[in-house]
Amino acid sequence: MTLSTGWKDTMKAGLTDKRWDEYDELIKTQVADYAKRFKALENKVDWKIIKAMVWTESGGITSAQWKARAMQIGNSGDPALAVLKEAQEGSDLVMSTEFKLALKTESIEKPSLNIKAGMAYLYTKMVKTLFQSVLDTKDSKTYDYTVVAGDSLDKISKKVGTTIDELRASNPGKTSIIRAGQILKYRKAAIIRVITGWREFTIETIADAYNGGGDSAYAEKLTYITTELFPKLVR
Amino acid sequence: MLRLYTIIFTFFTLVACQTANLKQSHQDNTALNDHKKLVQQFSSMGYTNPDRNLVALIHVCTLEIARHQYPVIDLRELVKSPNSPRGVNRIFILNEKLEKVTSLDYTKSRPLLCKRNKLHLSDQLQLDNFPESGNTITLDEHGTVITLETIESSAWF
Repeated sequence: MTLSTGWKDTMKAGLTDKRWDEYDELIKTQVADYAKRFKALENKVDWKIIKAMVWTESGGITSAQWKARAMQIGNSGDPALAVLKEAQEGSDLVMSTEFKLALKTESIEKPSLNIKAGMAYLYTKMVKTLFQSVLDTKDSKTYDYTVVAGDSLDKISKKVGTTIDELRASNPGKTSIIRAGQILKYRKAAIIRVITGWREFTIETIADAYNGGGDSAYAEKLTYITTELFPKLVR
Repeated sequence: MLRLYTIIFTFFTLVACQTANLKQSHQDNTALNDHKKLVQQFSSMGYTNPDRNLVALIHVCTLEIARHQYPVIDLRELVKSPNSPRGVNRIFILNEKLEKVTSLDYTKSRPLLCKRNKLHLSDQLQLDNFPESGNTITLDEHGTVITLETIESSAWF
């Protein structure tokens, strides 16, 4: 696919205009913060790709979006803001406490918050999660439960605040058939979403994750900005 | 005699119900072959978002699970925005009344082919709570995804 001349010319305006670097420090700080909170991300995310996303998403400094929804979070009909506000798709595991608070108290039209929101949405799309049985770290006690007639592992787990997986793990070989009067051991546990890893942060995966396949030239745009324009910036 | 009347009445009631169901099913299924009706159906059910641009709404194929039919719809929308609009792409699996049973978000893995309870996709799909991505999903009789795996396209047929 060939990028349009008009779009290229708009982006080329950033070659000699320092105002296009306005959000550099914010992006670098955010990338460093994620790497600090998630060790697996250390040196894995190139902040310049996110800078290129801001250029692409906003349309540059002459666009009204530059000083408002710089990452286009909060556009009408866009699911991204709801994903963050309603802690969907594991976003609650990815967002910092400070950002969660800011999301409640600040306007999404504020460009710095919009960029943080865009990054939180991107990282949410890049994280890999699974729902797993996790032991209650505040209660390490092992309890006994006496099975009554009509019980199932599902009923017991709900009754006593644990999980089927935990009942099976704490009673090896004793849970395929349960009988009234049988004593089962368990610890308090719950099924929660946990982070199991991260997708590789390449231009292609970032484009897919963030743009959702809406703009078929999205990855090409990021490539153009990072490889053709950024090395030639005159400051 | 009363028993005979009861049996006859029950028989005709069942036949009438079955006929009504078939008629309803036929009426519903006409929407699958009529794009305008399908758009109206999806709009009235709230499956499409008026704040987005509708790009594609296509009946791709129909899954057959436990003698029931589950039409598969490819819905692609674009968020209205001045630059690089975000895509909101979803695979809808409907029941025979064209009500949503399951919907799956995707980026590139368009639905391509139904084979009984398997839906083959054009690219790798990642789903919540499945550790690995895959190009084929298998559904149970409730329309729930039970496996996500990679199957070579040569083995789809």
